[in-house]
Amino acid sequence: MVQNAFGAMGFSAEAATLLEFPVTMFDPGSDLTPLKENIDKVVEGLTKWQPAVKTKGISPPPPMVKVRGRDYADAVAQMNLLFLKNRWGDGLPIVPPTKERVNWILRGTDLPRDSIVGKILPRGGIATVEGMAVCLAMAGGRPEHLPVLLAAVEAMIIPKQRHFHLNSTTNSCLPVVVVNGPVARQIRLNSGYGCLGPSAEYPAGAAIGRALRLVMLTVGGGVPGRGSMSLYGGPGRYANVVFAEDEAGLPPGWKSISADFGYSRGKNTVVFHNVSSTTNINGTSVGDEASALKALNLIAAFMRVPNHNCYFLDTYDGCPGIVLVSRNTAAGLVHAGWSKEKIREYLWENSKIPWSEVKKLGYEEEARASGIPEGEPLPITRKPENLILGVAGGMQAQHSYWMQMGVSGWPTSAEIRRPENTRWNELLKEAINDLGPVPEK
Amino acid sequence: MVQKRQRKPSSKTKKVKSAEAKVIEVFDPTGAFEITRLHAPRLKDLHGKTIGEISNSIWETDRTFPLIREELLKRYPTAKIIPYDELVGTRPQCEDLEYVARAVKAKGCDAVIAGNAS
Repeated sequence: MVQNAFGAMGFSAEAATLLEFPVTMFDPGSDLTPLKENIDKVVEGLTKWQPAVKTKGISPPPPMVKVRGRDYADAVAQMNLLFLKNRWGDGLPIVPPTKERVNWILRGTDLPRDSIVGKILPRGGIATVEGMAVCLAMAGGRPEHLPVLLAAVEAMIIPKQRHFHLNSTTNSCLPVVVVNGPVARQIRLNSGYGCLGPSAEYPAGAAIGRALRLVMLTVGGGVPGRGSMSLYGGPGRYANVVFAEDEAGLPPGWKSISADFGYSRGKNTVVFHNVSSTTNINGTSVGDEASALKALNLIAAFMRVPNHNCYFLDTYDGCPGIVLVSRNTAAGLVHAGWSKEKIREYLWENSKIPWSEVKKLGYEEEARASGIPEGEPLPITRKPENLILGVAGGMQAQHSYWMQMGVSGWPTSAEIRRPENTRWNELLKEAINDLGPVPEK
Repeated sequence: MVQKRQRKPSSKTKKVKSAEAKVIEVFDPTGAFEITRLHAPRLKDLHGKTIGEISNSIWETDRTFPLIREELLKRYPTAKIIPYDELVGTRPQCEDLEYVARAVKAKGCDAVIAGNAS
């Protein structure tokens, strides 16, 4: 972690004094003798130590790795073992990122392969377009997925997202990428039944999400216990959450998520946020005013969670989480007279944490810092508009979904840039040849 | 920003002995790295020097730093050590690098001790 911190700040990833102690030494009341016995090494770090790297500049990309096996299948197996030993990956088998496969994936962009997208923290590794294609190859992705991955990485590293927290925090949070625009259907990104995965019919979300995780692990150094101090991690971290909003299911007058972020209809965009949990909400069928209120009260009850990070740093003005409703629920709510704005207002008002609970939890300081007078219920965010409300999921109305905010980040967004039309159309044709026709909704 | 770089020849070949062996060549996914700052020159010794402590208050720093402080002063009685709660405080100030840099300069630190974590 210390080495990563140096790397993140642009230093060589070397620490002047790197001492290893049993983790129990950091327990309350522990014996600190091992530390006492090593004080001279701390002095040495301040006085005698010399870094190995003495010049500034960009290192050359690491060399290609040759792996030999009895036959191709064995070589792939050996490569997977080597990657596991080097801690390059997520622990699951990967597709070999060979030159051929990476070159194939690079057809998904017009950008030069050595264009730099940015630095991924905490390690500070340089994310190039080629590097993103390598991770997408490892994740089993295809060329037409690359524009969405590039946009997701671009959105992730916008400073206000604070991705260094996302990829190194003790919190067990994960990225969510919501895609809007025609590209979603073109690349088979799911917005309907099982949109958060898994799906062989719609493989794009898992491939892009897994590639994003591989970027965070390998380029960003978010390796558990080394770069990422997430106490639990989680199953959602393997492929993160990448899906499309159900634009065809938006009721009349209902703005899409990307429109809430200022994009015009038809633009291909990603909205990026990080969440610490994903929860199904059972019982949100809406037929009339009474059932609408019942459904909204139920969603608000799931949102009424004392999430400390909502009040950390400046994120009270950020986004407390994402609510997804199905197209049927959305239609029912609109039919009962509820606009998207009115729904957000109601959810905000009814997800406030009562003062008795604030007191019981010891959240008085958070309430004061958020400008909430003593005795008043504590909203989970400064204003209703901060909540992301989208339409996605299967057709019927029985369930909705809540994803509460993870670490101190703000949602960010980026445009998806496809390659020029002729190439893009070729890629989509190839996808039809390989995977069959694009599924009908 | 576009930069061209040459790849070095492979140095990480995994070998399996067989006449029919198949070799695949794959990318190392960790990517390149940019050094934009160099580590500061070390001090000759700590006599008469001002050492700052930086902490985010976790990992028992309320116990480890006083111990480090005590032991350093035994060895360098003329050193001045500024405790972490007097230098930049803990969270959120300690996570604002510009704030930390300003505080370290303002207090005249010759060196800092930080990084009490894995």
